[in-house]
Amino acid sequence: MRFPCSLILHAVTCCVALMLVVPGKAAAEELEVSIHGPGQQKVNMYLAPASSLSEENATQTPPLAAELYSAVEGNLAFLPFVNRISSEEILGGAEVGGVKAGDIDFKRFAMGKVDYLLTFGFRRREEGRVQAELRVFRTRSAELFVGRGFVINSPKQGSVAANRFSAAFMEGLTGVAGFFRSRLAFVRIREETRELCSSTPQGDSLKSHVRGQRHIMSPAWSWDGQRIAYVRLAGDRHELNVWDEEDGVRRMTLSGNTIISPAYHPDGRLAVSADPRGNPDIYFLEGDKLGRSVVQNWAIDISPGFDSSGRWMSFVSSRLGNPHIFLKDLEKNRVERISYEGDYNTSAAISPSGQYIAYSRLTDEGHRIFIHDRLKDTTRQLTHGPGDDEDPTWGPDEYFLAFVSNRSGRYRAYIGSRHGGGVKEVETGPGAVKGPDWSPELR
Amino acid sequence: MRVLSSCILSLLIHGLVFALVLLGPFQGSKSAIDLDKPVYEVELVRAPAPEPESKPEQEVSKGEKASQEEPGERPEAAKARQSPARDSGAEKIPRKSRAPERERKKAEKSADTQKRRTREKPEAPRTPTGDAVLDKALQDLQKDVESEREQDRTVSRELENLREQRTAAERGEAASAQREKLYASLVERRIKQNWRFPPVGGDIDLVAVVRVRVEPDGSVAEYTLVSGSGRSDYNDSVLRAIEETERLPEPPRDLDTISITFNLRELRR
Amino acid sequence: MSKRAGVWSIVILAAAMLVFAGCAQKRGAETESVKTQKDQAAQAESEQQKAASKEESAATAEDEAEEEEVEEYGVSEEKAGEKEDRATTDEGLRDKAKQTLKQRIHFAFDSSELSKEAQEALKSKAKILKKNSGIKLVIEGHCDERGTDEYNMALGERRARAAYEYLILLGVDADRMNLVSYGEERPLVEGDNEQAWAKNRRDEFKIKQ
Repeated sequence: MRFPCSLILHAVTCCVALMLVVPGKAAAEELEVSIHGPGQQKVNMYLAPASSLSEENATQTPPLAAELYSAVEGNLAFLPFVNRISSEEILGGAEVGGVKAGDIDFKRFAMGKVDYLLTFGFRRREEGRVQAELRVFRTRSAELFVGRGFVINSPKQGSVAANRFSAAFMEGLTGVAGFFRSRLAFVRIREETRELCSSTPQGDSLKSHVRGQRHIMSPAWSWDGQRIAYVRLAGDRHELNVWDEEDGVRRMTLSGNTIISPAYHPDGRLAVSADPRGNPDIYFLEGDKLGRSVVQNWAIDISPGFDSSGRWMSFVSSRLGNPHIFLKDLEKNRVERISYEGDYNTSAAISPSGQYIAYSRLTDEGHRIFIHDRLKDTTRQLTHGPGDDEDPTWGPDEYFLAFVSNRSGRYRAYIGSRHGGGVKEVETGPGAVKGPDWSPELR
Repeated sequence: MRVLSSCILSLLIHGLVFALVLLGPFQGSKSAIDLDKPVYEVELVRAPAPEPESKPEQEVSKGEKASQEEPGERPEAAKARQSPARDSGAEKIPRKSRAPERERKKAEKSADTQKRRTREKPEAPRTPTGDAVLDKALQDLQKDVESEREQDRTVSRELENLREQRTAAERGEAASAQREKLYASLVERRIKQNWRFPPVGGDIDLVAVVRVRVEPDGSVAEYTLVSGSGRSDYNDSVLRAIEETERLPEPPRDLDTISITFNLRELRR
Repeated sequence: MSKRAGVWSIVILAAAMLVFAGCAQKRGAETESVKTQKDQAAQAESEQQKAASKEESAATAEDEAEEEEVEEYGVSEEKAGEKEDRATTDEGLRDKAKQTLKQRIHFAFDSSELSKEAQEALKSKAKILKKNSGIKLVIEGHCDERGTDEYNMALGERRARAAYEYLILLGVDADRMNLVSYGEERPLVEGDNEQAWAKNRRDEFKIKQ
């Protein structure tokens, strides 16, 4: 008889004990917090000065190496998401013992909130050549993030090396490298002549493809980066011209009087705005002649642009009385309106993935670039002048955009990020710049 | 045999009791904080006190000089705004700019009438001196402090209201849940500020979870990466964010563990 | 009194002589060519009359002999100087016609509507074109610098086409006209103000050789 009593008493005391203990434990639950998106879309980076790879302490950096170093500096300066830390900001000094992991005290940099550390080592080689090794480390884990070695014999080679390294670094960071592997085509205007030119988005390696023209405009890259189509006004008629890397210039006259805004479809066909029916409509070319129409009506329809799938085409139409931006689903043959605000929206450009459509809206203060996000269904103003900002074109990474602006007094080309930051002028030399077009990633 | 069976029986009963007591309470209080709208509602509670209520007080205390200058200024400013629009020459533009001007004028008119009403009180002599400027600055400061106190008062008022609305047991739970939500949003904000990562292209989403133990004074005692994203640079960045947030706000009394989920993509509104 | 009158008559005579002397030189001066035309007509007429009267006197002499009705007709002869005058008059006309054809028409902002003045100008052009079937025309459409390049190319096309279609309406053959848009690529005047812009919003008409 004692057995069950003692059992029950035991159980009860256990329960009471647990009751006292458990509320404390029940309260010590986990608070769950969710963070969506980093507070700062950037990384902090420190660039250690160039140092010699060989045993002899070379205090003088050979010019080729110095130029390569400053080319990499310049490239990184173009990336708005790389925040360069100066040596003063690092507690304990920014001395780096060497270029390899074993020589570096990463803790100091990690403490100084530096995420990435670049080292640059050089060595003189035979016949004036220079060997350079570039390493980027993640300071927190002391791991090598990107490492490349180059042997260069000229500043041109140095610039190629700088671009390759910057592309590898950017690809490691963001997954895309288009910025450093693409070119910008544009029309340069000097006095009375115009030229068709292209350069890197930073303005390097400028080439003049077609010279001595009276009036040319609207260059458009093909998706393989081999050709540039453009419009030429010759005397009393318009001509569609295509410059080919290998074959030179091919000229075409089309039916109608006016040729506007050529653009390549990813499948290789060339689309253009022409007016055989008395007002500009959008056609695909078949051979050297106008083929099927894509958009045809009484209104002005110009400026076609295609996403990389080839399904979506952005364009400008005056079908509502004044120019607005529209999007056509070429698969389902449906047209959707994109711009609703303003009275004058032109220069439509759809991004490679099709998610964004950039365009130029005339506001009270002048033309401004706007971006419509199709996924979020929002439209945001990207640029704020002063002057007129026109002709946006997307980089292959969809992060950068190029456009022209006369904010400095005459039209020049500028690069900026999709978020509006990091606007920098593209140094293209003397003359005004019009009609930029950004190539796809070139191999 | 009897001893054995009674041992087994007692073990079973103990086990049952333990299980019930340990698992039971957890059913109700596991709160997966969703940082969508409910949290933002909490933020609204902390919004500044509505201005119209405090404005009349401000008008009277300012001194008539300030309020008299403004009605005079505005028509001129409005005129100045109008002429550039006409000069632009573009036909379609004046239509747009005139509309906002009409709205502005309406707002000015209503503000003017409000001011006129408050001016019924006796006017103080106006002496535009440096002292007056200082006084005004001090008054502005005072107003700021007062409005902050107002905010705090509003917060505590709201909490009190909530408390009054519920029964004793419910009140306890609701208040603690509210406190936890507030704390969660504070933690989210502070750590997010210190989280750096470059913009990554494409649609890929990266997720990493870190468990943090917080001291009662808010300092971070320890942290561990519970689940990684598969990318070491991403994992580095989230751990960095916690390292650089050396101190969190003081947690509610019974809280010491936080589980933080870092999502790369922003929420789609 | 008489002295003054005398002086005045000399002055008037001198002036008249100058005028007549000036009339001898007619190169592209419209008013002068008109004057000389009138002078021509007057001279021709007076010579005709003279010739006629000469014939008359001869005829009346014969009349007395035949007592029949005399067939009478006017005889005129072109002087060497007269030939020259007519040629320069034609040139004067041609130049005037050229000017009318080349006259520009202007447009309102973002519009391709033809104003009353534009329509009148086009009517005069149509007249000339219909009279001179050999002339071919190139119609150029232009825009001011506001607005973007590509859309302005389309707007320029619209402006050129507006003039083109109106001329066809007035009876000009479509084959004789070409249209081309220059968008904002060829401004007439440089300037960042409405005066410059208004001048640049235009159609130009070039005679095709």
